[in-house]
Amino acid sequence: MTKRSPIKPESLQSVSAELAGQPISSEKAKIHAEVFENIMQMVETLRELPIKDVEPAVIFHPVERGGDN
Amino acid sequence: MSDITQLSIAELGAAFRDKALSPVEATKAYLARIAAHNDKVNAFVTLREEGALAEAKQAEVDIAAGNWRGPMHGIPIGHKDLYQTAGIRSTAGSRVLENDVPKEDATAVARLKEAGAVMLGKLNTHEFAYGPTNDSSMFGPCRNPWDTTRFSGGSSGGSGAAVALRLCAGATGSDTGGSVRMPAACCGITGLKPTYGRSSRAGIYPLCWTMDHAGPLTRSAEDAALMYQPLPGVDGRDASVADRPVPDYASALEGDIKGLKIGVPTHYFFDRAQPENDKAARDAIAVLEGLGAEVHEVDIAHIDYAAAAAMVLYLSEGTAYHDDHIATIGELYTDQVRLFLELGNYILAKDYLHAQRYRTLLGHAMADVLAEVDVLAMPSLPLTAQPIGQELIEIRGKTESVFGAILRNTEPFDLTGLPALVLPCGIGADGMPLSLQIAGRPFDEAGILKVGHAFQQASDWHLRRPSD
Repeated sequence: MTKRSPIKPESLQSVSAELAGQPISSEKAKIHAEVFENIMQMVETLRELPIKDVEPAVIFHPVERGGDN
Repeated sequence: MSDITQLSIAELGAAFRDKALSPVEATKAYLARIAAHNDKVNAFVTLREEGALAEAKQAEVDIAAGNWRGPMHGIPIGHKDLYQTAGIRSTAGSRVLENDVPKEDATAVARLKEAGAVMLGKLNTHEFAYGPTNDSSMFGPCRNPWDTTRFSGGSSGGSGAAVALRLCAGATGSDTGGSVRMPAACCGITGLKPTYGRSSRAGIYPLCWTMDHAGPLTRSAEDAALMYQPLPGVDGRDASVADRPVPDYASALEGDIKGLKIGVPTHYFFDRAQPENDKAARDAIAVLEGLGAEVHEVDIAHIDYAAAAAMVLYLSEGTAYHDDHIATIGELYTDQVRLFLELGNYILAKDYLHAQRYRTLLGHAMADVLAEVDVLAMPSLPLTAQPIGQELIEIRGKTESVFGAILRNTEPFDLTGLPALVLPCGIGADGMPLSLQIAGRPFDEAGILKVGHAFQQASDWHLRRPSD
């Protein structure tokens, strides 16, 4: 199990600007950090699940012209 | 007839078929109720009086000529504004689409039109279906007809409020975390979320492609069967739709439920609900037991992770869909929806895939339980509709967010794609409806509708209405 550091507003500001291409203000980053820390605590529980050999529920369909999208 | 809007879809359809009543009279009756009562709940956001009356007149002419199309012919309904309607503004409750007029109908709209339904107009929705309360919308909050200081539930809040207040006979909704079932439960009506892949999502603005479902909100399970009947079937516009035979849902309502095995998952669904929601569901299950069903306590493995997985999926897929608009016209979104869209930028791909892998795990856990019992039964919601704007609630001594609590019992069936039906089964101490949820095996909509119909034949909660 990996150990995660608490989320910093400046980290989210960097992700928004440098990865997502959607810059945010430092005030907004502070709000995001507070909310997202709670979300990450939920997300971490998923990382502990016994899913090593479980495939994701997304199934790929080859596209056939004239049929499905 | 004293008040046509009191009639069910089943009763209206039979009266139209027998030429005892005209669709024009029914449409006028609903338009009059909308004029008198819509302002108090803010359910209809676009009305089409002339178009609806023209469709009703055509239905009257067709039926008189012997061309009755079926039980939905001439029935006045509303569509959630998330559904695209050709030539009619379709906003998804957002200023982003404030003046958007689609060229093509959503498949569900087209199929209901083909079945002869009359479209009264479009119904309020939580912006882009991204919330369970319907208090974030460019049109303002949709209010609960049982108490207009409280939310209607969402995201299909306009649909729930309009059906409960008899502003239409039935309405369409969409369900990603519970958005058909939450407003149905909050407003004291019946809501059906079908199996993922049973019917098309094409032309309905997406929230999460892998969890979006389209289904009806009506005043009874029988009406849900009739309104859902035209929707299933392969659609070239939606690759998720299964090529499977479509049963006659109304015929499947007949017969008793003797020997039916009902699984009651106490952990998670009951033990984290308000005591009165818990009790009302247990009382409703006792009614089903009295009709000959067998009740068994069951345990669903891994269920406690559902909220985390659903959150990751909403954030990832929602943000991916809106990515272009967040960057260019982000200020047009409501604050709450914009916050969620921006938070989606921080989810890692590995966590998205963990969430999708969890769905497989939960799907197997549900399948294991549904190999032993025929259906599952539980409270639809762990709480009643709360005051608009309230963010926190205490349930059994624990304070949590209203958003998290209201989604808890519905989103496991979006994650697993299983069909689920909600039915009114009581009134809480605050005067708000209480509700039972019945979930079934994949593609067994007929089975859960039969259970719902049996319950409604033995009880009268579905006949109770909010006062004008």
